Amino acid sequence: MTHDEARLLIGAAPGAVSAPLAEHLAHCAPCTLFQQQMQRMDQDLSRLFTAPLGPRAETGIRALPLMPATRPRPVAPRASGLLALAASLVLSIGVGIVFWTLRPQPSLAAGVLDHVGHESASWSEVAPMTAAATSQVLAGADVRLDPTDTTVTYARICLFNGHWVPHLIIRTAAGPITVMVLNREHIGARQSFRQNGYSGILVPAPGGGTLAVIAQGDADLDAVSRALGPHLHWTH
Amino acid sequence: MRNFTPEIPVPLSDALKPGAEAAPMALERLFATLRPELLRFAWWLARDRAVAEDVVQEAMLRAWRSRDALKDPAAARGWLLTIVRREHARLYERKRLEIVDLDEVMAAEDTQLAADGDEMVGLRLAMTQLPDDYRIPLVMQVLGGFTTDEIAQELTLSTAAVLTRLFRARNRLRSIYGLLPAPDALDEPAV
Repeated sequence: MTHDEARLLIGAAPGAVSAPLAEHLAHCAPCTLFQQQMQRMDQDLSRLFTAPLGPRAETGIRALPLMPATRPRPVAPRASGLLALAASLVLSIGVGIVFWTLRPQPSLAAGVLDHVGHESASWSEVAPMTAAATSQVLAGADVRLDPTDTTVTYARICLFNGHWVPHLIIRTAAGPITVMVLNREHIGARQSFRQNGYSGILVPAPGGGTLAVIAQGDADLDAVSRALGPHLHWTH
Repeated sequence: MRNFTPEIPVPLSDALKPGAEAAPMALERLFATLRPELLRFAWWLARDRAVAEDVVQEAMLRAWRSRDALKDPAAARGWLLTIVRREHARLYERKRLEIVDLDEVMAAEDTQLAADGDEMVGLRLAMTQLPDDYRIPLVMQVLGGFTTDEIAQELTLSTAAVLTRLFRARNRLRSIYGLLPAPDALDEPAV
């Protein structure tokens, strides 16, 4: 049995061990580790699936009603009532616009820096990843990277602002550089920022969304975005 | 499928016979006992509480109408889960579905898992975002207790295709744990 065959069986049913798989596991530490990881995941899945459901949410994938809901017949308002209604509507819209304009704007740059700070160990990865391994990771976030000369030393799918996004470390002559592919974030124009020893830019990605490029210290971040951006594609 | 006998006060073998006096009450008890589990199962298929409730309600109605088909009371759970799964599939065929942002569902329903930490919340989000082809077999296996052969039969797939889909489903979830996906050079076998 090959490693791929063993991992297929383990991934398909982590709790089931056939005789050939047991024989393989007896001599294969990496596949045994893979099995342990998958079994732990299944324990978490069992916990997840048996957790009580939350309160009824009126969102999500919703079936449209087959029949339109019955609505009470509207009562024709009097003229003075209409004027009052119109006035209150205008007032409500005005207040809404004011609140919308003045609402606090979460900073995308701050979110990126915060995320990078929490994944600081990623900077120390030096071993290049294979193109196949990188593609595997990116595929998890529906992103494809064309073959390039870029050396990727780290690739993960991270939860950022409620979406799974690729988080890469690129090796350059100026040192490691983080690239996050934020396909759900949209900006109008290039932004640059600098904080706590990091420098970074946010640029609109050619395929849509935003590229965040961050370095520790100074580096030619635009060169990285130019080199990588056109080679990233959304697959969905 | 794992053998699971729910605690039912009235023997189903007697109660489920059409026309038997105790049947309505026994079935009602059976449904009441299994309903939370059926609802969870339906939720993970549909990822929406309102749809899940509709599916379970319709499934129970169908189960009542076809109660003659249940020969072995010990198989009641699997029988009902199968009806729920089919009702969910039927709903998708029958109705036009409006898809809205699942993140809103997560925000509304994640409070329960928040105490378990980011990993469980992340796992839940990743599960809801898995494509149906991967999520449904995984839910059937882990939550429903169906074997790969039973899933294959139910979804009209080959067993090899089910194995591949289950592997890929779990492989996609590995990133939650900061793990790289295993190499996947598999071509999915023909269904």
